[in-house]
Amino acid sequence: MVEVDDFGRFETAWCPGCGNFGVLRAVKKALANAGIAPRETLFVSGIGQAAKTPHYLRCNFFNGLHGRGLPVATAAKIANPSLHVIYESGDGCTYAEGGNHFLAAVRRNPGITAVVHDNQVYGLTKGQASPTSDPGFATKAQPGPEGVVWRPFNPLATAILHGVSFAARGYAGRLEHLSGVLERAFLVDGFALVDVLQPCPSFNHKNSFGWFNERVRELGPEHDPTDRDAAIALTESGEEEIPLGVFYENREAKPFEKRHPGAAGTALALAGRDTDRQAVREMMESFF
Amino acid sequence: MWDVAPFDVESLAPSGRPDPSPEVEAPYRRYALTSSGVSPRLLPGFTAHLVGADSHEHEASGHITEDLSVRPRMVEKRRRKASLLFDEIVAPELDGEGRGGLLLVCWGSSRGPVLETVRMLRESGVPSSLLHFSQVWPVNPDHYREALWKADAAVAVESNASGQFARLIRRESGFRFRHRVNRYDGLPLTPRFILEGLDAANLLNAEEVLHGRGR
Repeated sequence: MVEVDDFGRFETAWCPGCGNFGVLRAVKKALANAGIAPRETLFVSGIGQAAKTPHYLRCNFFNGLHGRGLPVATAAKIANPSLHVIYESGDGCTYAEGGNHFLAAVRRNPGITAVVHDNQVYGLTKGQASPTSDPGFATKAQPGPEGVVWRPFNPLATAILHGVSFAARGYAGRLEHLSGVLERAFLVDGFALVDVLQPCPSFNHKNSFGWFNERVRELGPEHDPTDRDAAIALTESGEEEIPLGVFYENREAKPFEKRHPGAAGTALALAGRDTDRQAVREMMESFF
Repeated sequence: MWDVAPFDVESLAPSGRPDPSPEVEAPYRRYALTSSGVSPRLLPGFTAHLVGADSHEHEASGHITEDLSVRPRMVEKRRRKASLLFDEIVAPELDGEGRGGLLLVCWGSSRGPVLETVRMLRESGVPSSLLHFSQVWPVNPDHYREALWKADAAVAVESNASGQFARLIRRESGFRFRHRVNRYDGLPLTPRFILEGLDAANLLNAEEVLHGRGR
């Protein structure tokens, strides 16, 4: 039996009122409900306020470089498929600095869960636009009246288009709903993207808890997550009504670690330690 | 038929993998402060202990910290580890007498053309030696001081414009190279290029060495 308290309580560096608190609580609750103990986890993160999450959990963790969490998580899953590998970082780290790694991850479909704290702004560096900032969003770096002049990146549609195993949207202000989505995501055998709408009261004064509370709508049973076109349509709902829930499930997609010819199936650490000299010799001689 | 001897597969050392589940005391700390500076390494998922690794400055547990007293202790731990590495430095290879004559000093993949040059020089009657560094950092002056000071002329041969390794050796040992051959046109070093560089430094006549070998 795994309890929420198994994951500990820590002092954080987050601002009061930060959406990260809700995500952290939902993650702990979902782990406990899924029966995943701290020693069975590996949290991998990049850089940013969201990327500090593994420091506020009792867990195995690797907190590395900005944008580079997904390849580490993918490799760790191949190296030890028995670990529950959870990538957790923000929209800047995942979709901007780590954008190419995100594309590789949705194509590879490794058996990891990506929890992306999507606050549509760079909070750690005090308020520049991120890849998911709304058009027209004004910051110190993207001043008004024009604000952001790029189109926002659509991470869920990108993941769905590439046939990932699972794509969902959660909201830091709906703890029960978010922990339910995360619990399902943690048990998916393939890449599970959970993009979490996360208000940043310090640096994003547009997409606040109040703003989201008026707009979010939890998906009901009428949505069929195996319907790819319907799932993509949900990602383009506009901002009047923002759907939450499991948008897409691809039950046919096999995880990367079960398809990659180099993956051993068992943990690499338990594989033989002796060099196969004959295999090395044959490879060398193939160049003669 | 072959330019190089086949690689000796039998000499391959077993690959170093950590013991997946060694006995360690609780609480386990990935970056525990030890007298050697080396901390016990566990792999996540194989023991009852949790393993954390971080790119920022961290406490012994691996968790980030803004406690300034942690930083000096971790820096000192890394310096203790570095001193262990110093004892395991791979010494440079000396091919030749190393006393008197020419000493061509190089590093990394320059070894082949420089060694070929040294052999051509010896065939032409020019006493010559090679000093090749396969490890460029850290370096231990005890490994190369004698060879450098006892050569009639030590020449740093490098594929860069500024003589980066020559300057590093000067910083670490005090030895100042009076002669350098630097190639920085983007092509690899060749014996002809090196001989012409030695010629330009008035150390020998390149044409005599090249023709002496019937080329």
